[in-house]
Amino acid sequence: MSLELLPLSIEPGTWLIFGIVFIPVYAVFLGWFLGKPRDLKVTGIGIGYFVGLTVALWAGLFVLSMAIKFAFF
Amino acid sequence: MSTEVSRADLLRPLHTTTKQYWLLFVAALVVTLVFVYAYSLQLRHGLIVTGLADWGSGGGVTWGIYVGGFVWWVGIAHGGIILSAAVRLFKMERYTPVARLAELLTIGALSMAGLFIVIHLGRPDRVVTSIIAAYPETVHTSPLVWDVTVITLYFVLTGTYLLLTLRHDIHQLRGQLPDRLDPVYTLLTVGYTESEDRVSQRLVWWLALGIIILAPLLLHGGVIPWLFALLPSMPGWYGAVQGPQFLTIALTSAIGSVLVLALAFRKAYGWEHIITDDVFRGLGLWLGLFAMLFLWLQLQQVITGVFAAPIDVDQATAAKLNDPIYWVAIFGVILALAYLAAQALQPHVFSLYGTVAAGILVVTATLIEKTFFVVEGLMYPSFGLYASVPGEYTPSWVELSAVAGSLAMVVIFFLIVAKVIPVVELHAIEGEVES
Repeated sequence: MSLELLPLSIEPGTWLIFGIVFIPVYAVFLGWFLGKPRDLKVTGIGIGYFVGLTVALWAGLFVLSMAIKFAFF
Repeated sequence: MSTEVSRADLLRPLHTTTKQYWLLFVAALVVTLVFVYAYSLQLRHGLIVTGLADWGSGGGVTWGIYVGGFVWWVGIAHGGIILSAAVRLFKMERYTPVARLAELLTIGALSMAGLFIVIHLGRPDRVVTSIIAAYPETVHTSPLVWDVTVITLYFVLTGTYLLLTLRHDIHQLRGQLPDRLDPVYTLLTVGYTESEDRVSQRLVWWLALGIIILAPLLLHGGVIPWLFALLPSMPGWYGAVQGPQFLTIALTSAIGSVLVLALAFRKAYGWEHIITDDVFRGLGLWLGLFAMLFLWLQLQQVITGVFAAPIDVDQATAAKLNDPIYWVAIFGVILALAYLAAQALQPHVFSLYGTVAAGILVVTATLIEKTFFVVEGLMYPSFGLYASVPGEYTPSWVELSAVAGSLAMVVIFFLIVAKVIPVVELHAIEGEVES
C-alpha cells in the first residue's frame, strides 16, 4: 500500500490529498493571484471568505457538538 | 418587459409572504421537531434505537440509511456546481435563472450530509476534537478523513462563490431590499466597489473551474465511492466502477432536485417568464442522459457479477438481484428515463410536471439504491464471514425521521434564504455583467 522511498514511506492519502485533491484549490489560488485584471483587495476578500467559511463551518460544528455534550453526556 | 418589472419579480419573495409559505414553514418545522425528538432518544439510549446491529453477535449491518442518506445528500449537492459550471464555464446561459438556487442547494445539501455523519456517531460530541487533532496523522491513510477534507473544500468553495456573486446583486438591488435586513446587506457587501466586478467575475470563474474538477471527479466520483470501493472484503462494494457509478447517481439526483426547486420557485412566485419551460426541457434532457449512464454502469456490475464471477462476487450479485428493493430502485430510474426519452424524441410530449415527477422519481430511487448498496454490501462479505449470525436490516422510525427531518430542514433553509437574498442572479434577467 505505501510507497517505499528509503527512508520514507509515502501513504496513498499523502499524494492523493495534497497532490491530486488539492490541485483545484491550487488552481483557484494561482488563477486568483496571477490572472488579470488583478486586484489584491478583492482577491483578499475572496481569501477572507474562503478562510472564514472554513473556520465558521468547523466552529459551528464544534459548538453543536459541545451543545450535545452538555445536554446528553 | 421593462427592467423595473423584472427586478420587482426577482424580489417578490423578499416582499411578499403568502399563507402557503407559512403553512409549508410550519409543516417543515413540525417534521424537524419530530426528528430532533427522535435524535434526542438516540443520544439518550444509543444507536440501539436504530435498526443497525453489530456483526458477529448481533447479526445485521452496521451501516444503513444514515450512510445511504449521507451519500445521497452529497450527490444532491452536486447540482450546484453542475449548474454553475454550465453557466460560467460552458456559457449555457439558459440555466442562469436556476444557478443560484442550485448553489444554495449545495450549501443546504452538504450541511445535511455532514449532519448524517454526526448523527451516525455514538459520541458526536467528540467529532470535531477527534478529527482536527488527529488530522495530520489520519489524512495519509483514512478514506473517511479524505471525505471530510473534500466535503469541507466543496462547501467552502461553493460558499465563497456564492458570497462573491452576491455582492454585485445586493449592491444593485440595495434600494429595493427590505430595510430591516440592512445590517446583513452591509456585511455581504463589505468593501464593495463597482470596479471590483470585473475582478470578481474572474475570481468566480476560477472557483467554478476548481469546483468542476473537485466535486464530480474527486468527491462523488472520488472520495465518497472510495469509502466503499477500497474494501476488498465487501465484494458488493469493491472495485473501480464505483467511482463512475456514484458520479452518475450524483448527477441524476442533483438534476432531479434542481428540477423540484425550479418548479417550486416558479410556481410560488409567478416566475414563468424567468424560469422558463426551456430550463425544464434542458434539465430533463440532461437528467435522461445521466439516468442512462447510471443504468449502463449498473449493467456493467450485473454482467461482471453473474457471468463467471469469483464466488464472493457471485453471491453478492445474486443477493442483489434477488432483492425486490433493488428492482424498485432500478425500475424507478427506467420509468423516469422512458418518460424523458419520449419527451426528447417527441417534444410535444413535454410536460412541466412530468419532467419534475421524473426528477422526484430519480431522487427517490437513488436514495433507495444507495442505502441498499450500503446494506447489501455489508450483508454479503467475502468468505460468508457472518453467515452464522444472520440478520436483517430495516430502518427504524428514528432513522426514517432523520431522512424526513433533513428534507424539512432544507425546505426551511430555502424558505428563510429566499426572504433574505435574491435567489435568482440579477444577470439572469439583465444580461451579463461587463467583463
